[in-house]
Amino acid sequence: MRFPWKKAETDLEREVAHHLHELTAEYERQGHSHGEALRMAKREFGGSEQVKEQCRDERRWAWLTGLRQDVVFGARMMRRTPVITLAAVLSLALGIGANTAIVSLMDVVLWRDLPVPNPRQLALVEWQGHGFPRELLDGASGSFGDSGADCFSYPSFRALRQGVSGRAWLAAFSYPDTVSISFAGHPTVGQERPVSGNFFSTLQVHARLGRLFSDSDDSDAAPATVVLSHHFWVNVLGSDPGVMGKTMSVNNKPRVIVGILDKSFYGLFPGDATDLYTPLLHGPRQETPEGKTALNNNRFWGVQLIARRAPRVSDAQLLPVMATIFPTTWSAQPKNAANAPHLRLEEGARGLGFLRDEFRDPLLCWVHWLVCCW
Amino acid sequence: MPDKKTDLIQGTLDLLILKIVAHSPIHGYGIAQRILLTSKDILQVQQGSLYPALHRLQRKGLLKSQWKESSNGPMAKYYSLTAAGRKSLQAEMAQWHRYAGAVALVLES
Repeated sequence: MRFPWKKAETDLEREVAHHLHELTAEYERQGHSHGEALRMAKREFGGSEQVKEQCRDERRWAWLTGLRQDVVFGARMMRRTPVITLAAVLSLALGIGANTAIVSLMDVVLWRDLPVPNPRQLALVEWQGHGFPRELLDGASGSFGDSGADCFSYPSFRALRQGVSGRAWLAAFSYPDTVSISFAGHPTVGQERPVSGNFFSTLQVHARLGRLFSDSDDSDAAPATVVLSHHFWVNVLGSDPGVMGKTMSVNNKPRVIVGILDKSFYGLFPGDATDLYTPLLHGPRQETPEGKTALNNNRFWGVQLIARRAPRVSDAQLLPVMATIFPTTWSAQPKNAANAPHLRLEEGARGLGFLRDEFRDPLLCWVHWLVCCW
Repeated sequence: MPDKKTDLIQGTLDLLILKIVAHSPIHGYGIAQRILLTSKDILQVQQGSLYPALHRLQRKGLLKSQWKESSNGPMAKYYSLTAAGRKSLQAEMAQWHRYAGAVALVLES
């Protein structure tokens, strides 16, 4: 095998050898014996290793000189064609900017965990059936598709929560509703998410001010309360700590502000725009058209579930327990048992998954394209 | 016997090499001999500077080289001028004449 630098070395040796040969021949022509001529030639040539080393030095720094020349030449050419240079610089800047933005977005959407302690303990509870189980429910609020559904009845939630007690904490929440809000005479519109009383304690989120919900808030007897997201408190209420304990009107019903969420908690997924959290039992979604609460109705599946496994409890230990309890909360058993919904636990560390599901493929496509092109 | 041979002024070796090589392709030993001969035995090229200079000039793209059989047998590396080398030789020569003339003017004043 011949390396390029090897070739340069042999070249140099041959060149030096040739010089010595010629010099020796010259001395021989002058009448010296071969041995003497060789000695004289070597003496005259000087240290041949030294010469070789100097030649190597020339080569060794060649790349540096070359680089300098390239840079100077490049700069001169760029000065000469400012329009092309500007176009090149702009397209590079745009390209780098766009890629940075995409990768930042991927970081948030695909990879970042929810800003709560031990996010790896979280799991989203879902079920999968064959089609829509009309035998079991009259109405639902949640997402439902070929890949599964995330909606449960409130009675199911209560039974499951009790059944996993000691192995896991189970909290419920609903999709946010747009509500009209009025505080101190100023009206605005916001997103309100109903959550169970143990929602924040399950996520282990803390209050910036005041307190978050407990189970006692999530009851018909309790006064209607509300917890504000940090961004709502800052952007709409001007970070005024004086709002604590005051009453705000949500859809024309009075609510007492009991707490402000910590700044780090952005919600259940990146980009969650929830402004207010309210106990499930006071949430507007749980009222049937007849004005009755839907929470004792096991044919209205209107809440989503998130679980936090106790330390050292695995999905495999948790799921059979839940799967046994789940069918006992149904209003009826499906005639064909094979069509019955069966439970599964999804990774919950990064929060609700629909953003990820929706954008993972386009984002990964983009990255794949980037990798291929560069 | 006093040695009349003179070492080259720094910077002139490249010019001499370019000039010698311009005639016809020639190997390193030949260049040293030719410089000594044409300068009537006055300009002595140190081998230790000749080969590094040849390699430097080749790297700059002023010289190109080729291995050929020499007149008396063994293979030798023959150097010849590139187009850039030819241009550089003209510029360097003009520069040298200007320089030498200026030095002469000062010395003769």
